[in-house]
Formats: sequence, C-alpha cells, structure tokens
Amino acid sequence: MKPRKLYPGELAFIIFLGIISILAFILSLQMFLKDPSLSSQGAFPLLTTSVMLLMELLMLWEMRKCERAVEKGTSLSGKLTEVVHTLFPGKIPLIMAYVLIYAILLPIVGFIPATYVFLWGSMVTLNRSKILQSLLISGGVLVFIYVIFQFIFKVILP
Amino acid sequence: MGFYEILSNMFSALADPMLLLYLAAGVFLGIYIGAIPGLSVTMAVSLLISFTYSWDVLPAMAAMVGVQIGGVYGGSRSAILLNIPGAPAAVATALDGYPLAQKGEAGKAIGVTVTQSVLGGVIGALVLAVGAPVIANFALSFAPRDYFLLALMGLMLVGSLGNESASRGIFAAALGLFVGFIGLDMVTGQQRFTFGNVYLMGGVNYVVVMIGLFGMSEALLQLRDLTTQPVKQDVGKIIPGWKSILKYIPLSLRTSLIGVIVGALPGTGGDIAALISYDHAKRTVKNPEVPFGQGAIEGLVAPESANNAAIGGAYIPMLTLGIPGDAVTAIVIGAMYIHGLKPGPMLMVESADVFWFLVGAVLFGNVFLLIFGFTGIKLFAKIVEVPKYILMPTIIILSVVGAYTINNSIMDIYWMMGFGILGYILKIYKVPVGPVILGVILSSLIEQNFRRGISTTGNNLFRFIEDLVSHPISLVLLVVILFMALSQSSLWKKIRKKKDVA
Repeated sequence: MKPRKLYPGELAFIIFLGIISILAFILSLQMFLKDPSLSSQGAFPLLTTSVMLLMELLMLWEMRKCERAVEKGTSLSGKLTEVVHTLFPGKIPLIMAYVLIYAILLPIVGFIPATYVFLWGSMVTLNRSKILQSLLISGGVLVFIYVIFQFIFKVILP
Repeated sequence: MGFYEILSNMFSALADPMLLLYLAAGVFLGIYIGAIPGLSVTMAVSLLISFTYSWDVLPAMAAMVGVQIGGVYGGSRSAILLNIPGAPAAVATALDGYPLAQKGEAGKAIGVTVTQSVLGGVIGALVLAVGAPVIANFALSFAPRDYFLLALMGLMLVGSLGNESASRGIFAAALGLFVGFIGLDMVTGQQRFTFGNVYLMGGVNYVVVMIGLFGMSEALLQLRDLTTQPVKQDVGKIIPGWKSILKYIPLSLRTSLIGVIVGALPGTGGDIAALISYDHAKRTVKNPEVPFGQGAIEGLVAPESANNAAIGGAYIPMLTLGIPGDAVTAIVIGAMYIHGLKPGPMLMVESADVFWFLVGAVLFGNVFLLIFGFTGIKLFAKIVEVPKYILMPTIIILSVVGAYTINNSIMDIYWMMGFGILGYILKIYKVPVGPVILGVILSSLIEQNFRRGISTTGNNLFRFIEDLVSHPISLVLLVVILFMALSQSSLWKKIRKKKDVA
C-alpha cells in the first residue's frame, strides 16, 4: 500500500477487524484442540483465522507510514464526530434508518404499503423539491416491481 | 471431437425457441443494467439467482448468461456517453470512448464497441467449445489436493489484483472463507461458529451475502454523492462499415485471445482482461490515427473485444474445474449448485446437455448482442439520466425482495442489510469486497478437498507436502501458486524496480 492519508476511523476499523480475527482464532483453536488432527473440523478454520491474523498484522504494518486522518490531540468526541461524518455523510443515516424500519414494518403491514411508504419517504428525503412528483414515481416503481416479480418471475413477495 | 460435432452440439442445445427468448431477454436487460452506473453485472446476476430460484435449470441459466453478456457490453455505453464506466470491465473503454463522445462521435464509438464485443464474444465461445472438453478430460485425473491448490489459486489472484494492498485482499478472502465455515460441518455434522443459533445452523446463505455486499452496499455508496449530474449526448449514425471492422481485425484477434486467456485464469475476469489488452494495444499500435487517450479507435477495439472474450474464457475453469474465473462466474457457479448441478470435470459426463447449452448460450448471446447493441441508444440516453434519488431506493427494494425470496425468511433481510452495511464500510476503507464473496463460495471446495487430501496421507502433513511435489499436476499448480505469491511480494517488486533502473 502506498502511504496515503488514512480516512477518519480507518485505523479503528482495521483494529476492529483484528479483534474479530482474534476471537475467530480462539474459537477455531478450541475446536481444533478437541480433535487435534489435520483433517478435523477445526483444522482448516484454524489455518484460515491464522491467515486473517497474519494479514491483520501486515495491514497495520503497512499503515504505519500513512498520515493520520485526525490530528493528534483531538478530543475523543471530536474524533468520533469526524468518523461519523466520513462514514455516514448527508442523508445516509436517514436512509439506513428507513431500511431498518422498512424491514420491521414489512411483516406487520405487508409488502405494498411498506414499500410504497419507504420509496416515497426516501425519495422525498433525497430530493425535497419533488414531494408530489415522488408520490407518483414511487407508485410507478411499486407497480413495476410488483408486476415483474409477482406475475413474471412468480416469486412470493414478503 | 470434430469441429462439426461441436457446432451441432451447440446448436441442438438451443433448438427450443423459449430458451432463446430467455437468452435474448437476458442480453437485452443486461445491456441496460450494465449501462446504468451503480448497477453492476455482479449485482444483476446475484439478484437474478434469487428470482430464478424456482425456475427450471435451462431457462434460469439462459437468463443469467444473457445478462452477463449484455452487461459486460453495456458498461461501455455509459463509459462512452458519461465517462462513468457502467461496469469495471469498461474502465479502459472510457479512456478513449469519452474523448470521442466529447467530439460528438459517440455514435461511432458505440458502433465500434458493439462489433468488437460481438467479435470477442464469439471467439471466446469458440475457444470455450474447443478447449473445455480437453481441459475437462485432463481434469478427471485431478486428485483432491489438486482441487485444493486450484481453489487456493483462485483465492490468491482475487486477493491481490486491482487492490491497493495484497494484505487487504487476502484478509478479505480469508474472512469470506470463515463466513463460509459457519453452520453444520459437512463431514461430522457438528455445529461450527453458530453459537447455538438456529438460523446459523444452515450456514449463512451466500446469495444473501452477495446481495448485501454488491447490491445494498453499492446503493448506499452511490447515495454519498447526489450531486453528479448526467450529461446529455447526441447519438447519430452508429453502424460501422466493413472496411473499418476489417482494418482492426488483427488487433481484435490478438486482444480477444488475451481476453480468453485472462478470463480463463481463476480469479481474473473481464476488467483485468480489458486493462491488459488496452495496454497491449498501446504498446503494439505504433501510429494510431488519433493518440491513445484522445479518442483512438484502437483504444476501444482492444478492451471491448477482450472483456467479452473473457466471458467464454471464464466459463472454461467454471465448467471444467468448478473454479470461478471471476466474481460473476462465482455467482453463476452458486446458481448451478442451487439447481443441483455440479460444475467440474464430471459436468460434461453427467449433464452434457447443460454443458453444451451453456456453451451455445455464450455463442448465441453474442448474436443477440449484435442485434440489441445497435438499438435503443436514444432510449438508453434517457435511462442513464434517471436521477439517483429514484434509482437508489429502487435498488434497495430489489435487494430486500431478492434476499427475502431465497427462503421466504425475514431474517435473511436482516442479514442482507448487515452485510450491506459491512460492505459499505469495507469499501469506504478500501478493503475489497470481491474476495469476501469468492471466499464464501470457495470455502467448502477448498476445505473439503484439503481434508480429503490430507486424510489420504493419514493426517501426515509431511506426506501431504511430499504428495504435492511428487505428482506432476500438483507440482505444476504449486509452482504457479508460489510464483504468484512471490511476484506479489514487496521484495520481488523491489528487485524489479532495481532492474528497471539499471
């Protein structure tokens, strides 16, 4: 990796992946120790998680020359705000929340109303100037999806 | 097998007009999906798997092959008109295609890309028809350890190509393998990494992972920047004359062959084939009419013939060895498993009809490409102008529906969303997601063959290594893997640099 400026939160995310790798390694090791033969169910996971750990160390090693994204001495809350801004700029968090609400509402209110509300809501969120137009467009998209999947692909919709 | 026999096999496979219709519809859809930036071929094919779940094998495969052929070509349209490659395989096309469009010659550029894509695609299909049976025959003498090495090779290439660092690619591949281990162990039936969770006992469905990593995450990523506005373009005369096609034949033959070979290597697909061919054209064409990068026709001929030829190439290891040539074929392999087929050397023996059908579909898909490639360009100019605020929520809905239809399970939607957000963060922090999905898919192949291989040696690692170096096929594969590993190491790069300087 060429030394470049890191993205805010990149180092933390790579470290997070490292923690996952360590946990996965410990679980695999436990499994392997129960039946320590090379063709056992724990052998290959142990090998794989060892590679993950090794690559994790390499990634950290490669990042050592990279310029830090956040200047030293920035407060923790300042760092956090910057990370959140990098990962979830603009309307991304809203859209993510909509998707979550959509998935929860889907089995309760059914496919057609939940999808319509999701489509309209996210279209309006992304483009505030087209509230009424979005009502029509989301209806059109819904009909399109419904017809294609229900009648042409014949799949069961949620 | 004679040439005539091969041809008649391919034709007989496509005697059913309904199948041709599915293929044609796939090509047509693929062109538009590939052309819309943000809708990748990988995404389209992975969504298609879930929708064709309940179909018969052949219509499902026809639609998938069609979408792939159309999609690889379609990416060039937005590359030319908008300077946004609709698919990774069209990155090189944008280099000379967009300058042509800026001069108002978008029509000419599109005409060249259609004819070259078809030419490359047909060459790819023919090489597939002739080469696959030979390789499949050869592959019958492969032992489990050889499959283990092949799967490893596939993982290594994807883990290191086109990313900023090999370590990130390999990490991603290993992560994918790990996700693939979750569930019941295929040999002992014991639970692995399930934490007693009932949902996890069946393993994480890789289609769900795929839709999350490619569909949902891409839609989220596209929403980060809502300001990019599409540019309007005029498209006039597009069909090129015979003279101009014949003029570039030598180059297109060379780059098509490059495409087939690169496509056939495990882990490399149309995108890399296109870039290598572009580079080849740049080095071998001494006096182009227009310099490269400013609208050279050669700069369109090379990548477009190569990326479509790579499809036929990628199908060779897929059909004969069960090893994906690139991310899309990895998904097609997944689809074949779903329909109860076993891609590998026995496919030609057990399901010869499916095998020849696929070969024929690659060939005829290109005929449809020739028809559809010249149509709908004006309409297309409108579709690429669909604003993101409409397109992206629609893609999210498609991802949700796609994830749900696999098992009719709401849980799958949550998993898809989880992988979508994971993929989104991975992409932002420059950890490639392609290797993750390859890891998930290759997981059982690589592990089962490793375990089989090592248990034949009585769990003796030294005897396993001895086997690897004492059997010719294994030794060749091992040397290739070692060479690949070495050539990607920083030490090797340093030596190369020193040599270049000297």
